[in-house]
Amino acid sequence: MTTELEQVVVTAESTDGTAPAGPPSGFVKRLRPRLPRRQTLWVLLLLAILTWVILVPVGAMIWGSFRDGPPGTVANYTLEKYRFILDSPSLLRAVWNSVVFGGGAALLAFVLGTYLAWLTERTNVRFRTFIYVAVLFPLVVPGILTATSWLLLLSPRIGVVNSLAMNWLPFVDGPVFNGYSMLGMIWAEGSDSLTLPFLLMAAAFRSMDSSLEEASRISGAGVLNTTRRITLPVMLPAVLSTFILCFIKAIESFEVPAVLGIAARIPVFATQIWRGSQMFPSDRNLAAAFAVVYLIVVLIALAIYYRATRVGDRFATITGKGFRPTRIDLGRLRSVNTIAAMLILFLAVALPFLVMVYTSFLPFYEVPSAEVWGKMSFKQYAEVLGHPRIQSAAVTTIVIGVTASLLAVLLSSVVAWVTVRTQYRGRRLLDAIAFAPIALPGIVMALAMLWLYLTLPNFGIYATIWILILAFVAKFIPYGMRASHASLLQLNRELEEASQASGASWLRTMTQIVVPLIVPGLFVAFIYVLSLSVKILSLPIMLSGPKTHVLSLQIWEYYDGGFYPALNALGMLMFLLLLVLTGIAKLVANKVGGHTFKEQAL
Amino acid sequence: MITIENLSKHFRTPEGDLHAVDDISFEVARGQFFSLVGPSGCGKSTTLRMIAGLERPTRGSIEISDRVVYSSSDRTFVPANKRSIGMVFQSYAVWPHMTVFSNVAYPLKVQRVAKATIRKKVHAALELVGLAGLEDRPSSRLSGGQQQRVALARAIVHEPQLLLLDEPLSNLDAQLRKQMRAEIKGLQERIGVTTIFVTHDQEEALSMSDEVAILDAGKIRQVGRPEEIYHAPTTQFTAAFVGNINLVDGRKDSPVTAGVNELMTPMGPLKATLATDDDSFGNGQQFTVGIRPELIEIRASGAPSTENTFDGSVTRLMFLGDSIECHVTVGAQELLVKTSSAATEMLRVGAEVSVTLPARYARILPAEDPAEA
Repeated sequence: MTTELEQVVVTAESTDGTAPAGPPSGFVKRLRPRLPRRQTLWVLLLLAILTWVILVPVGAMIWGSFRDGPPGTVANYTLEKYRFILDSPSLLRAVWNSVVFGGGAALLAFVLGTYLAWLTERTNVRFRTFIYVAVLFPLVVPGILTATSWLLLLSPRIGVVNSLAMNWLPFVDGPVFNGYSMLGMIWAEGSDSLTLPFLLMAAAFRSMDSSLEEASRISGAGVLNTTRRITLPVMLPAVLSTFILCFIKAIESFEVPAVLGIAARIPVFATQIWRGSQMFPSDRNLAAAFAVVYLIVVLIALAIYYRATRVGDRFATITGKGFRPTRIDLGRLRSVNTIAAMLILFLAVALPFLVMVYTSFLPFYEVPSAEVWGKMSFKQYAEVLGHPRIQSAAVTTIVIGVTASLLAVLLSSVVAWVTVRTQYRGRRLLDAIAFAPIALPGIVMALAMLWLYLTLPNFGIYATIWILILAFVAKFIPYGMRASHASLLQLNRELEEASQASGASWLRTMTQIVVPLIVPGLFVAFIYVLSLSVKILSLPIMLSGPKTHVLSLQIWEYYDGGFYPALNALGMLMFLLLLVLTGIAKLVANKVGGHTFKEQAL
Repeated sequence: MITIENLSKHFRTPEGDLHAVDDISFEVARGQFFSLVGPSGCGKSTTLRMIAGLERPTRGSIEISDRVVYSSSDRTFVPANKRSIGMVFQSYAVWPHMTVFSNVAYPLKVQRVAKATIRKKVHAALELVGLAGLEDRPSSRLSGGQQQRVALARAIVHEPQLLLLDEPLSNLDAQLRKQMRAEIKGLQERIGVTTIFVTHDQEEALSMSDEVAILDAGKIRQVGRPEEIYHAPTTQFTAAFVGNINLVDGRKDSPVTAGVNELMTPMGPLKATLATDDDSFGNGQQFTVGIRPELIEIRASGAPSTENTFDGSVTRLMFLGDSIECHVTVGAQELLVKTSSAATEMLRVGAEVSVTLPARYARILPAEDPAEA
């Protein structure tokens, strides 16, 4: 699924560890002499930029929710929109659907992801490396493609699974699965979202002190009992926070609710707001009001998350050199669990991808059969590659992506520097604002942009690439922040001080020491944000105009028209592009690894 | 060559004012190896960093080689990169993205020294630290000990007037630490640079330094040569911080004078020496007598009674290889006695022994250290 959250939030609260007014003890920020005026100037400048990019659009949208006329028109203040929501059974149902969908998908993703994480980190299951790589696979596939793959698999009329079942299984004469249902949506979303819980829980498992479990085993408990009674409860804070993150990610999702939910008449927040804003007759004020409700739900979830992580610190068992968690020997159950893991990966990752590949080679979609093989060709690819509209969409996508990523990473690295490396006043506020977009689902961010720039027509960026670039920057700053934080925290203060003590000026220290050491990390962040901007649909679907057509929107248009082969051909090409980008990032990351000390006496 | 006067560093915290460094003053002569020692949090690193210019003091003045680099009264502050110092950090701070050569050459490049000269000086510096031949090694592939030497070479390559070392040996294992101690000291003697060395390890400070300053809670407790610090501590803190010491409560009703005094202790009357006329002892009546464990004589019970001899029994023994440490209880007082391990025959737990505390080694210290923070 579009990775709207990934691991951003995980380090958001690491900023709380910054030292107070500075007694030196161990790892502490040193006072850097600065003229007061320059300090304040920088902080104010950054605050102004962040506020304009992130807070002002949201403010405009909230304002719009209390008005009764579309953005840019003369209107009056009113509470009518909120009253309408409270009186509307369908809108209230959408709230309920969102929670059920979000909770269900999160539960599924969490259970499967945790199971796989436990297998790879704490047991001797086979093919561990393969599992690890396979779980990361969804990161290079845009969510819209996976959603349509599940449509092609589970649609009662045309779904592969249903057709094959009806043709080959004698006792089946009707569709077995209906993808157009809440269960179908939960499956499609949850199965595509294994990566996040897997990574988070794997890290948690890795850092747990296995002597806690060993004490349980010695007392006579078996593997299952130990896991149930000891492992999971001790990891409860990690469990809770991971689950909440999965919930936030699911409830912010747009693709699955759009592809499966609309036809199933299961509205959720994201799809309702989109339709309310873009479909005729549009009521952007109502959409804004509903978006505010949406935001409140997400913020509540975030609040629970922050509570859970703070509690988690008390439970933290830190592994020192002597405490490498031991692996449980599954014994006879090894094969069973290996098969189970492979099955999960097949169903969640391989199956939709295979459908993608399969469909991309067909002239028009049909269920697999013997005759189908003769019809396969590269025709769709040729048409997609040769189509001028798609070519220009590709260019636009790259231009927007590169510009937005550059801006997001640059801006966030400066903000992260101020937060981590200085004692400027107001840096905590900066940090908070920079991480705020985590709480903003893409659709809401887009609506907010619409509200701001339609209300202020002098800024004429509506329907230009700039409104998209700004929306991307706002949405992806938290990712840049996270990467910058990580890079800067790795940069020991004393490396800069050694340069100063060697006689170098501030500028030389920056250019010769600091920048070369953090640039590789920032480059990887740049590539990551670029990948996210290629994949994301929720922003372009609201903000793109005829001149700012992008690839993810093109995929949507193919879906809308039912052109599945073309959809998947284009999807495969995007997949290849993302694969290349990821490869580049990995190369740079590995090269950077050589810059840290392999042997440390520290 | 270095003059520190009334140097202070205060922090304002939610819990109140923290005086990390509280009004300290000392001097370091040219070419001297000077150590700042103290427990964690005593302010020694902060002091060093203020001398380096990496930390801005709250008050006081710092003079390096007749040049005022900091003065609160004149509002002078010379930044770190203009102080002509060399510094070795606790983490070594060797830049991982550069080779050994580039690391060491950096201060010279900053000074725009000619390339040929740079090469010569870097080679010379690396020879001095024993890393000749490793110029082109990427510094990310160095061991801890090698990183340390690179840091050292970088700190001296530009012939600074002052060398600062911030706990450079803390992260090394015991063997390497002993070796590096000798090497650093040898290096310093060879090139003669004025050096200030910060450590929490008193053995390190004593073995390497010309002069030692003992710090505690931001204040200097005592400054002096290592022998003075060890044999003539002027406060309980100094006496207890450096090596082991026995502290015995003593009481004298009449004023104490320089020379030998008789005090009343839990063991009985004890003759102890006051080494100074210092009035800081005031007119008090309570004192502490300090004596090093290795200076107490121990014999089997029944030996002829001499001055300051007491009977006691052994309550605990520890065999340390080259010596034996035993706990001897004399009345209500427990003493730690250290003696050569050749004396094993008479020493058993429970053995009756005779201990003598020679008056000239029993030093009178104030009962309490002044102004406990």
